Amino acid sequence: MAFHITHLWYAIYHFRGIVGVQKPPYLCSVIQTQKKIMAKIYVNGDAQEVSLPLNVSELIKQNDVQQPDMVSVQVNEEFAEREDWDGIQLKEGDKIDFLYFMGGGCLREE
Amino acid sequence: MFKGRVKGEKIATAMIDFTEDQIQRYSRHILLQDVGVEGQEKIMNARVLVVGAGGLGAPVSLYLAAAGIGTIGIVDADVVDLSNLQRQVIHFTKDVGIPKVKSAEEKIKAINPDVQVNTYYEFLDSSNALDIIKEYDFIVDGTDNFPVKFLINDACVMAGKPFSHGGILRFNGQTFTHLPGTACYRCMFKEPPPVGAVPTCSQAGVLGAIAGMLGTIQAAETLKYFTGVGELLTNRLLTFDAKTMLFRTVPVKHRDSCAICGTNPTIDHLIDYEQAACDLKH
Repeated sequence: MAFHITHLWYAIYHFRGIVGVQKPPYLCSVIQTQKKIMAKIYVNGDAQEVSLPLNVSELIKQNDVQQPDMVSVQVNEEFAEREDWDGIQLKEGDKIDFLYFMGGGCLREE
Repeated sequence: MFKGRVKGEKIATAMIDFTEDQIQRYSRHILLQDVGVEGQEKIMNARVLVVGAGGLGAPVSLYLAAAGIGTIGIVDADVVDLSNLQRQVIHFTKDVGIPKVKSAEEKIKAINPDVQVNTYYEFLDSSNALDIIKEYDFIVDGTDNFPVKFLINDACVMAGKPFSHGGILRFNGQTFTHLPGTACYRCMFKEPPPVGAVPTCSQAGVLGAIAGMLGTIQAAETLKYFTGVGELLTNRLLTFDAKTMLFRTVPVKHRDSCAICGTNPTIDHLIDYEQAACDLKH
């Protein structure tokens, strides 16, 4: 097996308690990626592959929901209060529905 | 014609004495096993309030009139504008400038002279909503602004009246039916969006036929309610996108924390939410 600079970094990192080094940045991302789990969820009835952990607020951002402060969210057919969106962690098979206001409104004339 | 029954015998069992003209007029309803003479009689005894004689109110009123609904009330404070005619099919070119309720009444009477029409040439607000609604068995929301949609919802929940909600925008529509105890508009949306946040049809536009698609669903729900046929759109929000012609029914649950129909309601009076000036005009 050929020696590679990565092995040296890994060796140093393995003994980090002794030599007192930080995780190299690229190794950081590798470790985090390994922790992520893919899951299939259903957004407005359509299947989506997402990587967990993922909360409702993050899902709204990922889906480019327009006017997120105007949308109502249901998780598995239960309404999710806006203040709970950050704390609701999604899991495999979850069904999320975004409900939008429709039917007129009050846009002021420019 | 009457599925083997003797025509005279069937008529004798009905509370309403159908005339020969009525039997002919409503024959396609009477032929339906789920409707029949009994169902048609329920339709003819029904009192329906249509709020808004616009894009949704037009097809709703036309179909309910044709179906023979006994009494149709129409609330609208607008006059017919040329820009309405692209979708508000109850109004004709000659009607531009006259109150929508008068124009609608004329067409309803022309379709079916048996229908009693009550017109309310005024805005529905917190001062008159309960008084008007209490006279009717079923309310159809055909309005184009959120303050009145919430007002209709709250008034119907308070009065224990069923209603059909309808909304359209651009190429989309959504509707559900509320019966006492099922999910209401506030269960889905807690309060109206801030003034200026969500566009109206008059700003964002709407494909005219979308109004017909949604309005006829609302009319069908109304007739289903009175005849007891099938399953209403309760605890379900029907949405469609006419671009793809995909229809979807989202299950929605009554929200225990709902401010009007929840376990501990916090709203005990009707609210007149702020309305943009443009909505008062169109």
